[in-house]
Amino acid sequence: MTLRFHLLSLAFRAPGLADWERARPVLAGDMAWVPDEVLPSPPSMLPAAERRRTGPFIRLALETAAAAAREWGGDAEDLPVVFACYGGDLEVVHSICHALSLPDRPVSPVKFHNSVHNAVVGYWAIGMKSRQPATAISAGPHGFVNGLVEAALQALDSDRPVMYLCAEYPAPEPLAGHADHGGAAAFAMILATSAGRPIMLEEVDETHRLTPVPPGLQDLARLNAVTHAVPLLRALASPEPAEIVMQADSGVRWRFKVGDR
Amino acid sequence: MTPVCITAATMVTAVGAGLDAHADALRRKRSGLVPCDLPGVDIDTWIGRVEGVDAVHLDGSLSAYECRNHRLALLGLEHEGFSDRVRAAAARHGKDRVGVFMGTSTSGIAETERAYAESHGGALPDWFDFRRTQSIHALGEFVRERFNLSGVGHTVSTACSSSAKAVVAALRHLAYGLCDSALVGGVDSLCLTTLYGFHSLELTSPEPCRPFDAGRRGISIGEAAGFVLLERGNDAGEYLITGWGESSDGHHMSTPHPEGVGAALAMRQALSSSGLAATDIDYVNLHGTGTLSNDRAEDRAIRAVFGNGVPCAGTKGYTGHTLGAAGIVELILSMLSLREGLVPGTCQTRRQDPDLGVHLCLDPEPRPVRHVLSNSFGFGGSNCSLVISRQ
Repeated sequence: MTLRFHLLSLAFRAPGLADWERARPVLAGDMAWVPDEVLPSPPSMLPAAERRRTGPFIRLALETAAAAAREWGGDAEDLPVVFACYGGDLEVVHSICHALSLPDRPVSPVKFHNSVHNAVVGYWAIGMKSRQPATAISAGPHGFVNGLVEAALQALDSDRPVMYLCAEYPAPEPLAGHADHGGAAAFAMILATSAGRPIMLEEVDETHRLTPVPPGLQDLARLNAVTHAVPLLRALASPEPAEIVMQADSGVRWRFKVGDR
Repeated sequence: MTPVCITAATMVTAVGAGLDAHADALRRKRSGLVPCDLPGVDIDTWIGRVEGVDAVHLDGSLSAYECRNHRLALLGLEHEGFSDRVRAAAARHGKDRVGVFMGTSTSGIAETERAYAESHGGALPDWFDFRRTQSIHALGEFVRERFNLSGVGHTVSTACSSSAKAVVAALRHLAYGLCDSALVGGVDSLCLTTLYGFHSLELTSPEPCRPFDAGRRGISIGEAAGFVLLERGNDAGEYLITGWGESSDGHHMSTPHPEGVGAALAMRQALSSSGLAATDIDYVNLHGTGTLSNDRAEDRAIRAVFGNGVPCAGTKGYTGHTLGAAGIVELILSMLSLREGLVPGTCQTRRQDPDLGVHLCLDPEPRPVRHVLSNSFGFGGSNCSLVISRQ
């Protein structure tokens, strides 16, 4: 099966890669990857009361979504959003499970409503005053492509631009060693049925080799469910057409044919 | 939209196991709610607990997924010959052509709670397996593993609209030919996180929840597992999913828009995609949680779309609010309404709030039912409405 869509804009942030412009030479192999800490800012799209309730995970995701929307320049409140994330907001999970282990179980009501997997898109809709559909999914540590497929289907089905957002944030102790992903990263793209860089997504069988990650980017690619998409990010960082194969969670392989920019 | 049939369905809730138990409860207006007696929980509230979950064994490769949520899932899959129907679909279409779309709000977080309780502030115990219990997609992986399926799919987690939106995701994948059949489910199990979390928001009712009642005092948390098998085409079965609508409130994280503007949008879109007029809907299955603000917003939304005429009933007084499973549980209850020719009564509700103007059915009403619209709304202002029809 083949899905054809067009990339209108994108944004990316990972350790040492503060935005897409700074990520491009690293992804292209022209500069070495030097990781540093990701410290996202409080989201200016939210009213002060809501802003204070957000932690670093929500801030990173909203910041990246806002950057993709800015680059696109259209009316962001009209965008349906598909949000994919494997781990969830583990700082919130930690806070709740820690509170539940104490005698009076003092669970914070704000932490509880932030614990829903769709908190990011809930805040996005509040910030954008958007009534558009928003979904939040997980497809495990290799779920990047599953989320992109859902976003592409929504764009095709509605015939209008859709935001795809994928974000991960490291777990605090004592969860950290158990959550088998580390590092903060977020990726957002706005896709539509026409007018941008063409991408064709096609299901292929196991005889198609997965696109390898160059040695200098393997540590980045191993970070989490967002950076597993390094092969796609590399293709998008280059103006040349490219063909890559990536795997979705279930083992289904997808070939991306990325047109020239 | 492409018609999609429900070719098999199963569920377990506090009401009982399998479809007939639920049809019987709807006819007799029998609730499954009980006072909360969970060990170590000191909240004065009622719950919908599924019988027999503790006795379920996860064998072989499933044992790595050991947690209450997956025991509950397996219990649900064992009724109505459902597992055989899934295997038959996999044999017919290929194991890579059956999509798996799950919905859950808290997945296996009870294991994380247990790990923290054992850790006493130190390291978590070695037995704790984040990916196969706590993580959202653990449910999707578990169901795939159970049937050895390898097709498309993912797990939706949008609070209390999760499994309704999993249905919509499956419809989209079916419509674009990414799978030939879809196994869609919702599973959420009782845990401290939701009990104490809703309690912290002062939303747990000290008595059985009374949706749309003048004296309603909040929700009764329930647990459930529900599954349907979907196939393309309108010759595959008697019950079709004919419409769906999704929207956001963009208002507040845990309180709905006071006039239900987002909810109305989801209902209008569901009607429009089904090609039906508001007057074609025979019954609206309310989200009807029993909180002051939820029921008021839903009342306003329904009246904006349907006026005051359409019969409405809420079913959370039977099952409790099964959170991420509510969408699929109530889709199946709506299917039973079509099957039995019955608009259910709103169990536990004694007197309709005079401020709420919808036509609320307090007692079961036998009548032909051809089209039902079912609402699911969740935290984060996540709204989803489904239309299910009988051919």
